[in-house]
Amino acid sequence: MELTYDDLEDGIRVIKLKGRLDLEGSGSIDLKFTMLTATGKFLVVADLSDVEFMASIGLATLVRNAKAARLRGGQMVVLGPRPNVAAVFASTRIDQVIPVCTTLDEARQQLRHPPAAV
Amino acid sequence: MVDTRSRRIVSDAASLREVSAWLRETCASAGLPEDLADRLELCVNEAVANAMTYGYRDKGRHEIHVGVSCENGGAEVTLVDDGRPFNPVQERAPRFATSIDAAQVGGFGVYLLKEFSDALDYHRDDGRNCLTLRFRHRG
Repeated sequence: MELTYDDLEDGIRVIKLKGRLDLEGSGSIDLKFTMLTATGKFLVVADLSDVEFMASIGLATLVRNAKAARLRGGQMVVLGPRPNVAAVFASTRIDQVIPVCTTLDEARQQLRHPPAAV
Repeated sequence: MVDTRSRRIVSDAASLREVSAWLRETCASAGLPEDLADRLELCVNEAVANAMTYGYRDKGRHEIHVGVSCENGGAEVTLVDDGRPFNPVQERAPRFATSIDAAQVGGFGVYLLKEFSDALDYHRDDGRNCLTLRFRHRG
């Protein structure tokens, strides 16, 4: 699995994943992903448009990092999951706690108006 | 016509990827719809990853037998491993959170296995976990 990132001018960090978020894939990007949500920008877009498969271990990686962003006063949203990946978010209802966006503009809107603290 | 295939894999992440690819090829050969193949791939990943992660006390390589049978637009997968007894049917549903603060990290594997398959049978036989998953076209 490949992980790249881009820090946009408006303070948003877009983390792009490519490949399979399975046992092997999650293990290969876990440390770098954690570092990117634990330091620097805390408004994070996880771009999943090139993720061809996601198992529960991949979902756990995303939830853990979304919680990390939230702890720092920010938020993580997910961008462009394919149907099979989107189905996992929906079935587990994680799409109700991590916004799933179809465009970068939609992701920006979500990050500018995060949910109120619980 | 029934298309039945099987193979043995070892309990490591690379083998799990290989068997995923093999299962997708099998589904494609049988002309099964993509969404069925997606669900089958996810369920097998969850079941095998669970066995690999929790089924063995040692870090050694263990064999897992994977069988797939395609017929009448559906598929049946059998998974046999010699790990610790584990019956996914008995596992409780996860907690669904209403905020990211309350969300649990992990714990959705067995839930996904049940949600994305259309039937699931488990029994223990001669020291082995035997899991059968069935998939049919969901219109």
